[in-house]
Amino acid sequence: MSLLEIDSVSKSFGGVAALRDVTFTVGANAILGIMGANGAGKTTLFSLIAGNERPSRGAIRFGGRRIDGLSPDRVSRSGIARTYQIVRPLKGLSVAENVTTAALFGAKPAVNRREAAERGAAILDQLNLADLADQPAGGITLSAQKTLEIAKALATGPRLLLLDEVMAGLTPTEVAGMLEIIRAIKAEYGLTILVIEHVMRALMELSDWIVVLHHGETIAEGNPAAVAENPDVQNAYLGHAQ
Amino acid sequence: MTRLSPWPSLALLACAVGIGLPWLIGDYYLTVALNLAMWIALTQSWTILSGMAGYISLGHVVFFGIGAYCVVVTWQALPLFAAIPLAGLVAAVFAAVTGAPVLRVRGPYFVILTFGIAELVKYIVINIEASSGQASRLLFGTPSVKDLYLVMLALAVAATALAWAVRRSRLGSGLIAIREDEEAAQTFGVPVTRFKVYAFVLAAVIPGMAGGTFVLRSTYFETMQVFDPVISFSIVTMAIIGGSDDARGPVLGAGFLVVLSELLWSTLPQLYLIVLGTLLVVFVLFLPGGLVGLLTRHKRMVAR
Amino acid sequence: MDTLLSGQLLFSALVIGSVYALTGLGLNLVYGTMRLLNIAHGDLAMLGAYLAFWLFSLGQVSPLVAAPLAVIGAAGLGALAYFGLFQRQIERAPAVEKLEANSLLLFLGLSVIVQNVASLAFTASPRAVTYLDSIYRIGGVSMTANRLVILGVSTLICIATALFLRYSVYGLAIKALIQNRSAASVVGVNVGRIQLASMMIGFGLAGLAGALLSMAEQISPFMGFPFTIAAFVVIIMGGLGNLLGGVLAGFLLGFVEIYGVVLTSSNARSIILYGVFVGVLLLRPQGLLGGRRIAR
Repeated sequence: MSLLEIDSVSKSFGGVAALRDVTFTVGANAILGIMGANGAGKTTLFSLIAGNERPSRGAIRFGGRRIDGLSPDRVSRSGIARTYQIVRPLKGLSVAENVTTAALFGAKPAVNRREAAERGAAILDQLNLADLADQPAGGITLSAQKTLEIAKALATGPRLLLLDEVMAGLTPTEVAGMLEIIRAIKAEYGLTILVIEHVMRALMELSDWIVVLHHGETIAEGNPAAVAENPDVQNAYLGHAQ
Repeated sequence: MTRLSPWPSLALLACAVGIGLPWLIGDYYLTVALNLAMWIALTQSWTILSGMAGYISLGHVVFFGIGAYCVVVTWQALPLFAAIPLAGLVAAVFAAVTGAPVLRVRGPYFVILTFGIAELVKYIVINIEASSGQASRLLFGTPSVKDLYLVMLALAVAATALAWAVRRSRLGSGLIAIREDEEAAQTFGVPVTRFKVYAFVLAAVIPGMAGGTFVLRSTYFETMQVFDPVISFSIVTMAIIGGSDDARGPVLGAGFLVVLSELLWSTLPQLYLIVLGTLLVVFVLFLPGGLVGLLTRHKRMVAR
Repeated sequence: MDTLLSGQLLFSALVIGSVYALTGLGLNLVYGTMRLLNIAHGDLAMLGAYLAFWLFSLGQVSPLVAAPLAVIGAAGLGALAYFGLFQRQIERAPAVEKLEANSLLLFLGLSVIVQNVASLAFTASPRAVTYLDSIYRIGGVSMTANRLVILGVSTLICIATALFLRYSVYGLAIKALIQNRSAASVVGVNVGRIQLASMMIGFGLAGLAGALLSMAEQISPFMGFPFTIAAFVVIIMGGLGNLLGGVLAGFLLGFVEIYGVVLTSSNARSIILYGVFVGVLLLRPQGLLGGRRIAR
């Protein structure tokens, strides 16, 4: 049984169809990449999985149980955590407080403040954010804020992590660093990961499997090499087949 | 903070002084102390929802008035040690019942909604009283100022302790996250609706009891008085002047305003309100952290 | 049933509806363009009413002449508020919602100040003016001249404002600003100037409503409150920023109030007003006649 099943999911906003009949599954411990041009529906898909929106049609199953239509906090409690493409740190709190707060909630909430703080400190260490711990979250660099998004998501103890364009705006060195971090946390926490990424190199390197969206529909699916060779994908990206 | 903070000892000292007060000062100043305790109780309770979650309520007087009405209605029918807690319970139930729909409303609409609800309840009570032929009610045989002062002091201490405890709890962390970014907080697992309602209910209990105690002290019940929007306005002003981010703020704010009212109210009540309005404007514009904000800015505290 | 269908009631509902529409229009302009909920809006009407009262009592000046003066005075206050308070707030504010909540508290403080200054200056006892109180009977309905004037002027101004918004460049700019602030500035709308103009017009309309009202109703320093609430109801029912919807909602509220009182009792007037207020906020924060949420 796959960990996550997207079953004929469609979503319309008013008259606009953001997603049309999308179907795929994600096996446990896999890294699934989601590829597509802007407006292809990738972030909408994440919003549907995380419960921020409700599908217009179709079902989403996590560990065999339907989660579409559940409120975001219930989805979080079942073990799914997401990051936001446009980062949303708790600006008035310090970096450490951000992660400590997240650690008190989610799928594996800490028993008390102390445990939450310890878990938070450990995560900040792993993500190389430890020296920013006491900085106000609103005052750190964008790259650090993106890492903080991941830290908060991780603090909730998820099984499934949704990463939305965490590499955007990073330098090549930073991208390499982020790849390392993602692989490390996946191994340590036994995570299954869905990645939306525009940085093609990173997406190809990271993913076991890729789903390509175009105008809200899946146009291709397969391992990175296969997807790169796929003429429909090339058409969508380059306007013609190679 | 690794340095030993002077505040807990100060608080204990204040409590000791507070308890000893009836033996130290006369009835007039005891009434002032009772008022101070009442405003501290009201403002601390207010911060539980409005300070921590950022849902600013302009209708907090509704719990006060409901509690007062409760005690008046059960007067002679129930002993006071049951009537006052009952007043708190009724206020809490009101909050629980209205909480879910009311707290779905956000931002400034929530602010004016709370005001509207307080006014609505006020006019409903006026109508109920009018139709039963009562314009105002008198209470005879109420407890002494000393006893009522001690009750109000207990409520002030309880409210302060409650606000302090919530702030350090998981509920408090969730509320603060809600204030910062409600949707993001919900996404990492904060049960936002439930927590907001909890905060609403917790913020209602003590004002309910305070209202009941107040009406015993004034020995008469007049709907316009116990549901007066100026009470809500004063609470907000005290919280903004004192600062609503920790337990010291409401104490400072209430203290400051009670002193001010002692100076101005008997001469010119309008002048007192003008000063209040001006202070609110000044603090919102220039000192949004309140007096406590001034203190903590000094220490450059970031985490709360 | 007889009384319910009477022209008299209809007339009363129209008169009060027109005043609500006028005040609501003013508030809507300020809110639509600046996202500021002016809780002191009714107090502007109060000031306009007192201006008309004093000019009449001291100088025998007709409230009809005082009215434009009230508009100018209130507009002046609008300019003062804009430069003195809000420019600073708008530049400094972090989140939009915080700005809205903060400005609400700001206006609340101002409202308390204004009401109590007025109470000190004018004493709290209600005053009244008798002006244009000749009665006309048309089709069995008695209408005082002053109420006819109120109805006429309010409706005229509402129509004039609607036309202005529809056909003038300024009006178009205001509508653009209401719909989408950043987009408006990108296409060249001078946001600051339009906001200032809206604030002045919005305040002026409130002053006008007050001056007109002084002809027919008693005035007191605290009379502004119900009008503020009514104005809020109007803009929420009509859809925030939807100026035409607001005007319709104003008349609707007048009808609900007058007919509601007839159906229940005069005591119920406040319950109806606040009941509608609470109900609308709970059920449709984006307004009964409004569309989807307005983009920022």
